[in-house]
Amino acid sequence: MYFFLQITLSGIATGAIYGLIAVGYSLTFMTTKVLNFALGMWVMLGGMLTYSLHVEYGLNPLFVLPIVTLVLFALGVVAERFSVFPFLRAGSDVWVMSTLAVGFLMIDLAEIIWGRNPTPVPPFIGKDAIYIGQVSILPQQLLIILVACVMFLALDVFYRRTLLGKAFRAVAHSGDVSGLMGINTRRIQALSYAMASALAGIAGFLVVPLTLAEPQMGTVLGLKAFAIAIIAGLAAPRGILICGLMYGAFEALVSGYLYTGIRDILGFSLMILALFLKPEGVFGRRQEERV
Amino acid sequence: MPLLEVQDIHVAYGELEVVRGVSFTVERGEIVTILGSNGAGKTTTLRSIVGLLRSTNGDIRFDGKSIRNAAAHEIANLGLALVPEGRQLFPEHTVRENLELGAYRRLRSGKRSEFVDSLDEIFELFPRVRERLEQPAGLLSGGEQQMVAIARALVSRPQLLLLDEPSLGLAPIMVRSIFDAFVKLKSRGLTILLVEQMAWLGLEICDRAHVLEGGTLALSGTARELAYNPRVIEAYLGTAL
Repeated sequence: MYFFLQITLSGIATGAIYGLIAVGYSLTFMTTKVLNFALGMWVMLGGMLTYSLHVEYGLNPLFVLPIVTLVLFALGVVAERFSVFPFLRAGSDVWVMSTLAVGFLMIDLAEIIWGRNPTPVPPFIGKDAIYIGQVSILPQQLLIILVACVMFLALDVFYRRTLLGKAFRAVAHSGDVSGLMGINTRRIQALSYAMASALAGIAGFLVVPLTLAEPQMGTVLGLKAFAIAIIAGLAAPRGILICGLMYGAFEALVSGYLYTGIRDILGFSLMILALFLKPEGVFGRRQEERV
Repeated sequence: MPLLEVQDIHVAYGELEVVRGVSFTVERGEIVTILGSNGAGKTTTLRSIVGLLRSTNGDIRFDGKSIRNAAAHEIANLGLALVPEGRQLFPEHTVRENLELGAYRRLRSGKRSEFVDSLDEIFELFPRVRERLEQPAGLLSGGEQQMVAIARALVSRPQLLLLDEPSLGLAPIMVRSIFDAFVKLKSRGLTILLVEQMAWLGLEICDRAHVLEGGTLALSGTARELAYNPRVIEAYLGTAL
């Protein structure tokens, strides 16, 4: 039982990261039906910036977090303007390739700036495990779970309680009708892309002490987060957190009790099964047209 | 100067030109009705006025200013509010949230008290909206949804209210109540452009009307002139009013 709880808890921390990235897919999909397929690379950028600011320049993580968030938000605005919007305006699906191209560009640039060698980043809040009975958790893992939960709560409050959040949901339902309300749908679309980029940056900031800082650190994370967003339903942000945590625990249990090698095979098979059985996602709702 | 001037607009879906050289005006304080059968180009005309479709020729002027190339949200912010065909509420938002989105520009500028005042005016016009405020809009009946859709347009305090087939799919008693509301709104000085397939309904409350056929204006005149026009009687009314 102890072993079960231990690996489940570790898995949940990883799952919180997956959830945080996965909700980024949901943010852009809901407003524009666009997916930033390179979101994992944005996670990497967040991680590498954290490495530079925290390790190389010795900046306190409390200052690193807002800087990383703002830089990635701003880069998200620029990337959306030049790699997504022109194709959306032309009614083309080429954004699939252009978002990926931006991601690969980021990896190449990261290799030029930081090199290919993985570099450790010390945890932000201590190295000693915290014990809850017999089960232990690293402070960094606890921080990840807490920050991810706070971010999801903030996002939920944003969607449900703020006028801008309600406008996001309105644009998700119909861009045309939202325009009739005086909502600048174009601005909301750009904003959603920038917010997704910033969330990926926060995920990179949180996860880099657990992985290593290196240009490929986000690629697999982004793919798994994509699987989670699909399983939960791209239009179901609340479900994405739950699915993220469960997927993390599932991965950890498969690795702990079976074999690490089949972890991703089972995970991605689960995504295909979910797509087959419920294309709108486990937590998604089928869109109904009312006449 | 008319409040709205539509001058020789042409609107196409790909190769297919649906509206061909339509021109008309709407003066301040009047109700103008556009009649026509399915596919005549009525909805397309409205959608091009509010910026959801682009006209390839001609011009659309609102209060003297060209809005032909403006985005939908810019046109809405100038004071045009469209109640689209089929209501098009945000079904998962509550009625209150739908109304807040209708008043988006004003709420963004911090004018919540104006929004609250507008709500009182709405409740006077449609008392049922008050009872449904906290319910998801998608769960309301068709008639209630139409009231909310009109209310959502009104909370933006428009200068020109455009309505696309407001009677569609509603029970006769509900249609009567909604059309009575239009007359009240006109008496308060609101200008209305109404697109309606049920010609007798549109002609009953309007000052002037136009008949669209095959994407062009076939007839224009006062409500009385059109109500007694043999062509209108034969095609749309069946009997004179």
